[in-house]
Amino acid sequence: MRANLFRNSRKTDSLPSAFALVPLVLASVAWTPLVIGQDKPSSNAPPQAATTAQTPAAVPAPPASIWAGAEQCAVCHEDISKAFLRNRHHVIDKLAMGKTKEDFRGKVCESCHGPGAKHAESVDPKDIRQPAKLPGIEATKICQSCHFNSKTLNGRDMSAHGRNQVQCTTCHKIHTAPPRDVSTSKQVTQLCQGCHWSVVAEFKRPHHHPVPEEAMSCVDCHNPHGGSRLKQLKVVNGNEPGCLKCHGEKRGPFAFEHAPVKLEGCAACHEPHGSANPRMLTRHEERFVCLECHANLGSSTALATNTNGGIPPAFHDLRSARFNKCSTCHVKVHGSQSSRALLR
Amino acid sequence: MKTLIILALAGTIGWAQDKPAAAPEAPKEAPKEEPKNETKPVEEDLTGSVEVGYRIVGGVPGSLATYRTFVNLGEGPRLLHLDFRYLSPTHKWFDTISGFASGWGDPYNMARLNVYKEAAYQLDFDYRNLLYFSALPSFANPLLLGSQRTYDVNRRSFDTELKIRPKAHISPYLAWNRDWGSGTGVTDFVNGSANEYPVFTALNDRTDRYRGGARIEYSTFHLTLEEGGTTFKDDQNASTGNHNTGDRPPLGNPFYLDTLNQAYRTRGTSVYTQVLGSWSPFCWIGVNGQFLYSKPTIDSTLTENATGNFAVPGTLQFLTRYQDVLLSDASQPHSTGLYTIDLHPWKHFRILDSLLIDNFHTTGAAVLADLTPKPKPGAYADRLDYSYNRHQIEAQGDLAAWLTVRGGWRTVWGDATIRGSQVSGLTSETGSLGQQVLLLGAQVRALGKLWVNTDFERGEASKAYFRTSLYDYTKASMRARYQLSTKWNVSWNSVWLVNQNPTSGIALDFKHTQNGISTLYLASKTVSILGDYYYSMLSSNIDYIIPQDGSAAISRYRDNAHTTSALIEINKYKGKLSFGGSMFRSSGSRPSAYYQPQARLSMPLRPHVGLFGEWRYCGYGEPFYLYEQFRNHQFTAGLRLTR
Repeated sequence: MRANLFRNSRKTDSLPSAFALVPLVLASVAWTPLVIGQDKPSSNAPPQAATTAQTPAAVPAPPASIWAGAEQCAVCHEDISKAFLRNRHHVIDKLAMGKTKEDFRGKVCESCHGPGAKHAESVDPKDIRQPAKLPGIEATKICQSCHFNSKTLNGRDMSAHGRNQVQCTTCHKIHTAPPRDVSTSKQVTQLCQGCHWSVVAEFKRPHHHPVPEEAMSCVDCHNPHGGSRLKQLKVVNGNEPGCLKCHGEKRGPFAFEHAPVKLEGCAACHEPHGSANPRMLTRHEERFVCLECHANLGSSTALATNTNGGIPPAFHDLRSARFNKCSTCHVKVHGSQSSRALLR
Repeated sequence: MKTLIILALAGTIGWAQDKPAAAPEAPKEAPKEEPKNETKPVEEDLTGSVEVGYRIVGGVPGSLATYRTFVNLGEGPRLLHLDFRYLSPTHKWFDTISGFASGWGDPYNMARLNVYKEAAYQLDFDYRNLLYFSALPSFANPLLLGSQRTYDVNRRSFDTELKIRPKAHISPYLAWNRDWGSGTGVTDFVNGSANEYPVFTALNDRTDRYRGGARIEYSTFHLTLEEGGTTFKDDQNASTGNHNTGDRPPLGNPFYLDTLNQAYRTRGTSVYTQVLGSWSPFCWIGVNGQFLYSKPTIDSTLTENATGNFAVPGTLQFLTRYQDVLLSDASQPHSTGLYTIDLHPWKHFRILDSLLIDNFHTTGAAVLADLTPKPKPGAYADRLDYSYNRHQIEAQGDLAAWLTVRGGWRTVWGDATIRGSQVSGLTSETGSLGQQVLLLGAQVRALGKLWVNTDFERGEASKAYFRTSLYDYTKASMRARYQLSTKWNVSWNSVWLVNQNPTSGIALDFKHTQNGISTLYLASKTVSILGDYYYSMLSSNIDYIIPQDGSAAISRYRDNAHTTSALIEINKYKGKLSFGGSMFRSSGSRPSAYYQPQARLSMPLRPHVGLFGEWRYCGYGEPFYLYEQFRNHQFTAGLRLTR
């Protein structure tokens, strides 16, 4: 059996039709016999529950004795039980079958911890599932048994958090937390800082986005749950980089685009977390940001190196101060509506 | 003014004193709750805290412009923090209202409000206001030492979203966001290659986003359908009425600008569609996908009217008046699709397969009417094509209860066509992207005290879009955390990236390492120490061409940075003293130092009322641009009220 109880209640007799409906996962057909064959009960749950869950139509519902019930849990875990009343997950206690994939009314604790009758009798921690101590894959599955099909988690599997099995409980409190609270920017940043404190250190550089000033937080740019872009960057306006939410004037489209801005994003020239260089540029002098790309010797070299970029005209005499800052003349460096050379 | 503030603060103390007096009313209400409802948490109706204070800013020895660019904090009364949560006793119109505000009076301020009613709606508001000031002399022409390329802009954004029946199977939602900025700055009026003139500019842009959709969630599938649109406007006016000799030395310079009126007027719209879906028919498989489409379009008009002495670009002709009208438009259809398959054939084994396809192109056209010196219409067209594709397959397995490993492969490919450089004479250039990446990773959880996460990527490219793009690279990272004792935690972060492109004429050699240690030590019940130290090294060499003679040179960039911060907190006699701060020192291409020590003392005055005082210092220095150094002390004192 899987580590979740919700999904186990599903009918497996719809397996063939399901495959017919999913051309994208045809390759997974090869797994089907393995899956069914390997779908053995977990050591965390009683065998009755596993058998029942796999073939709910054929086997009667599990005997009530495998469930301890939330009241029984509260006898020993009074503090957690009281605190849990303030947690959003308490709503599971009220949801009828159909809203959840199992009827957990009266046994809300066991929706995550699994049947607890044995544990209630033995008082042995080994007799109850402890999600926080499970391997990453199993722990994540418990949360995903309800939350996989949600908008928030769409794209999680492509993200670094998803791939690294960062458990939901790393950031979310299950037993406590007040309902519907508004998190402050500082709270969010402190939460991320637990793992990404070296990134937070980058904000202590002189030029930075106003995260230490609490005007922004990590989740303004990154989606901690996932997403389509690298670094879990957020998107705005459908599928445009999240940077444009605040920097809308650089969005375009421009009649004359500056290709790297669109192809590689803002990070091609800027260090978004913080930098010792003005305007969070990646180089100490602006001309080097430009010239490191604009150094192809014309078409033949460009083709030979398979890279884009050209060299500025010879009258750009770098010994003259006026040519040391390219944006002095190329004012519209992010893109221009009127000038092919991004001059105005 | 200060007297008024003191009176205001005294008034708030009075308010806070009144509140405890109201507390006895709570028991009066208690008997009304006749039915014994054990599942309802017993909570205060209104909880929250307010922090108000007055800040005194010491003088700014050094560059005020740099101080304003980095810090920009001013003097005066401030609402530093406000948060509250109100639980409706009747639950008639809402269950809870919660809110948060910070930094009112400061250059960065924000407010949030959340209204929620179970099974009915959720309404969120978010407002931010950021003053963006940037005037670093080193960023302009160093000979001018003026405020060329300067901004003093106020950026604001307002978000609101209404979700109907947020926990129901079908939940529609509507949202509106406005992001707008206005302010002034200094930019350049460019006259070909002859000269460029710093001029005053007024900036004003606004983007409105409207979106609505429905989230459909059932036990085996989820679908979110969203349709949205934006309207955009950007008005920029550059003007001057003063005689301006520009960037070129005045001696012998025949070019100057007397008057200018340059107006950019841009209007744009876009529509977009989002379809997000996930499907998990069985416990061993999950599929999710996204389809995103947007099509922004822009229409722009530029009018330019200048008098002075100019040269016609590319000729030796002089003129005293310059008039332009230019019309342009651009469009950018953009589609993105992706799917992820999560196969879970065994309990401790998982396969993730994902594909991302991203395509867009920009088509732009401009029509120019040179009214003066003589009508010379011209038409220009531009096009940018882009495609990016990424396929990744990865297997993960729990080898033991304490060890998870993963390994996989990523393939990245794409094409891009951009306009050719002026020197090459080509109308377009084509670049390609091709990369194969090996992915490895492991996670160790041992003894309940140790947690280590490692990530490794080795990529080899045959093609890259740009000379500085990732090519042949190795990237590794490690995050580790160890609990030395119940009072002492230590964590370690390391990142290592080497990127090389050996192609002749590029010779990119990029190395970046970051290593740091962080610790939290609870010395006693009243004292805690938090500290971290972080070292980063960046070294980059790449060939480039010196434009004036076409010779090859190497662009070298070095950045060796030490960042450390510490915070010691002492909780004694119901008060709290915290002191520490951060320090940044770097050497290399742009050595600089930035110190930000601080100390804060807070003491309770009465129940629910506390006093606090805070001192902050910031000091910045760099040896290359000495004129940008500054240092500054700030003192803030105020009240904290809680309920």
